[in-house]
Amino acid sequence: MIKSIYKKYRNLDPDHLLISTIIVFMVISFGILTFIEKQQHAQSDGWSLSFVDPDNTSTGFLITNHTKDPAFHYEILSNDISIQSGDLYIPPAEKRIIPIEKMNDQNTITMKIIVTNDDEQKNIYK
Amino acid sequence: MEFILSQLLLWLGILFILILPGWFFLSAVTGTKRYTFLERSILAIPLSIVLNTFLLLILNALHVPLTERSIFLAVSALILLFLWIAWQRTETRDHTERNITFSGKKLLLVILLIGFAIFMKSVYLSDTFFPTSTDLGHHMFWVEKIVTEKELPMYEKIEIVSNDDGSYNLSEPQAIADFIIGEHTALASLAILTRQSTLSAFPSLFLFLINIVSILIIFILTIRLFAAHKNVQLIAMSSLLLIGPLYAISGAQVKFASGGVIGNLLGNILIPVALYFFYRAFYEKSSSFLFVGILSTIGLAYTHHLSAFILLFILAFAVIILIVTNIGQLKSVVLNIFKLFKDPFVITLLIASGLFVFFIYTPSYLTADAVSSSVGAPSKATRTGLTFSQLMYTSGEARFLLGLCGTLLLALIAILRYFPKHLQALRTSLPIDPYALSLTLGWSIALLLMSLAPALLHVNIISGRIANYLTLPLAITGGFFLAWLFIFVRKTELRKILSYYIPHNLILIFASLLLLFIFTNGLHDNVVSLKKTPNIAPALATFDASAYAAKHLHEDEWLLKDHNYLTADTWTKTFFTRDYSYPLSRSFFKRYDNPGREQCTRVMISEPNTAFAQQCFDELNVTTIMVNPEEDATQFERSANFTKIYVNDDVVIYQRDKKSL
Repeated sequence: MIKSIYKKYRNLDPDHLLISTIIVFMVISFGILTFIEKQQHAQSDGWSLSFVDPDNTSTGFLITNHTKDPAFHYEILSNDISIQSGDLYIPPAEKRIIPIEKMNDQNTITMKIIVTNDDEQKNIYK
Repeated sequence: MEFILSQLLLWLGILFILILPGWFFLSAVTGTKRYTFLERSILAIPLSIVLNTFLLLILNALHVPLTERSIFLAVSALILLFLWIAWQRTETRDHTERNITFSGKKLLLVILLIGFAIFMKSVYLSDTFFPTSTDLGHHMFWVEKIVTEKELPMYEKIEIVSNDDGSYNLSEPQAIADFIIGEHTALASLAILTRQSTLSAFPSLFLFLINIVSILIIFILTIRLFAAHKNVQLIAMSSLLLIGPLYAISGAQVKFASGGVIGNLLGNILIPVALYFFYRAFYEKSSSFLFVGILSTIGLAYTHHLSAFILLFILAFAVIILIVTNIGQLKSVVLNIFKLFKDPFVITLLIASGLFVFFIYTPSYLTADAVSSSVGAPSKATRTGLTFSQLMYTSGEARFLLGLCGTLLLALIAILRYFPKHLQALRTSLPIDPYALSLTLGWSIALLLMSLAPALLHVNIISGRIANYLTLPLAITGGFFLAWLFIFVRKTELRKILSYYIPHNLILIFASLLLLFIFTNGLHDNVVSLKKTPNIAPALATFDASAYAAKHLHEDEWLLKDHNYLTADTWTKTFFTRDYSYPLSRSFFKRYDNPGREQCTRVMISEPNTAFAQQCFDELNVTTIMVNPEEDATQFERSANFTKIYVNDDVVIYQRDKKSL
C-alpha cells in the first residue's frame, strides 16, 4: 500500500506535489508544536493556596498541588490561637477544598491559615 | 483522541475560513485558468483573510451576533455566491506559461528549501510559542473580547485622569488607534468556529502559517516578475533561498510569530499580494486583476496602517519609475492604465469602498492626529533613519548586499534604455518587462529611502519598523542578482572576454566563496536567534492567579497588577475581557519619569500605606493587588489594611479589607 501511495505521489502534477508536500510539513509541524504546548501546560510546578470565597473567608480554603509531594499539613489560627489543624493528602495535579469548621467565635479579628508542603510554607490571612 | 480531534478541527477551520473563500473568489472574479495550481493555492489565503474581515464587518453592521452558526452560514453563503458567479463565467484558453512550473530536481530543491525553512522556524517556535509575549497578549485580549461578546469591539480604553484639584478618577473609554480590526478578525473567526483557546499555541501557530505563506507569495511573485527570463526558475529558487531557510528567524520572520507582531506579518502577505495583482493587471491589461489588487489594498488598510502607508509609497515610486523609463511611450502607458480604471466593476469597488469607510466601519487610525503624526519631519532620534550598517544588520548582511547589487543591476537595465542600440544588447540578455522592472525597483528604492533617509520623504515613523519590510524586495532583487551571477559564471560572452584576464578557476573559487558567505551568514543568523528553553512555570502561575481573580472580583472592583516582576502579566486581561486597561498595571519604572505621567499605579504597589496611595485606592476603586511575592509582598504584609487571599510560588493577591474601603 505504501508503494502504491508513493507511486501516486510521485506521479502528481509538480504543483500538486509541491502543495501537498508543504501541507504535510505544516500538519506535522503544527501537530508537534501543539503536542509540546500541551506538555508545557502540564509542567506547572509548585502549589497554590487561596480562600474559597474571599468575601467570606471563613468558608474554607483551597490547595492546588502541582508538586510531586502529596503530603500537606495545615493549621488554622483565630486571633493567633490554633483552632484547627491536620494533615492532607493531595495527589499531584489535584486540588482540595478544606472547610473551616470551628469558626463559631464571634470575636475573631484575625484569621490565618498556614499550610506546609515539603518544608515550604505558605499562608493566607485576613 | 482529543488532541487529534482538535487538530482536525483546526485544519478544517483553516480550510473553511482561510482557503475556500479566496479560492472560489479567484474563480469568480478572474477565472481559474490564469493561475498555476501553486499560485491559486497560495493567493487564496491572503484573499480569504481580506474577505473574512469584510464579512465580519458587514455582519457586525447588521447586528448579527458572531457565533459559530452565523460565521459558518455567512462564509458558506459567500462561497456559494462565488461558485455561482464562477459557473456563469466562460473561460477562454489556458493563460499559464509552462516554463513557470518546476519538476524533477528543481522541484526537489524547492521542496528542500521550503522544508528546511519550516523546520528552522519550528525549532525556534518550539521554545518560544508558549503564550507569554506582551504584544500577543494585548492582541489576544481583543480576540477574546470578540469571542466572548460575539461582536466586533470598539478600540478604546479607560485612562487614569488626574484633575486640577489633585484628585484622580477613571475616564470614560477613549478611542485608541493602536489596533486595527483586520488584525483580529481571522483569529476570532477561527477561534469561534474551531473552539481554539487564545491561551494556547493557536495564535502563534496561526502567525506561523502566515509567515510561511509570505515566503511562498514572494516565491510566486518572483516567478511572475521574471517570467520572460529563461532562467526564471533559478531566480525564483535563489529568492526562496534568501527568504526561506536563511534568515528564517530574526527580523520580520518567525520571531514576530511568537512575539505577536500580527499587523506586520499580515502586511508581509498583503503587500506582495497587492503588488502581484497590480503587476498582472497592468502587464496583461486586465481589469479583473486590478479589481483584486484594489480589494487587497483596501483589505490591507483595514488590517495594518503602517503596511498600507508603505504600500502607497511603493506604488508611488513604481509609477514614477514607470514614467521615467517609458517617456517615449508615456501616452500609451497612461491610456492603458486609464482604460483599466474605467472598468465598471473597478469603479463600483472604489465607490463601495468609500461608502464602506464612511458608513459601515472607519478604521480607528483614520484621524487627523494619526495621519499628521506619521507625515512630516522626523520628530525623534529613532525616526531619523538608520545608518547603512544598521540597515545591513537588520536585513542580513549577505541578503542586503545581494539585494543592493540586484537593485543596482535592475537600475542599470532601466538606464540602458537610453543608450545606443549596441549597448541595449546587454539589456536584452536580461529580459524583464517594464512593469516588473518599475515595480521591483520602486519597491526596493522606496523602502531603502524610507529606512535610510525618511526626512527626504517627510516620513515620521520609527525607522527600525520600516526596515523590517525591506527583506521582501531584497529577497527578490538579491535572488535575481545571485541567479545572474550563476549564469555569468557559467556562460556569457562577457565571461569569455574576462577569462583572458582572470583564470577560470579563480572565477569558480570566487563563486564558491560567495555561496559560503551567503549560507554561513544566513544560518548563523538563525543560530544566534535561537533561545534556550524557557521556564514557563511562572507564566502558568500568573494564569492560575488570573483565573482565580477573574472568578472572584466583582464588576465594579478594579485589580492592579505589576508589569515589572510578573511573567506573562498582559495575558491577565484575557481572563476578564472588560476594558483594555483592566487590570490596571504598574508599568516599567522609567516610564514614571515622563512629565505628566500619573503616579497612582506606581505608589499603590510600591508605597501602599501612604496617604497618597490610600487616596488613589479610594478614588479609583482599586480593591485588589497582584504582585510577585519575592519583590512586592513586604509592604503589604506589614499593612493592616490588606488581606492575602491567594498565593502560589510566583504570584500573590492582596485585597483591601472592606473596613478600610
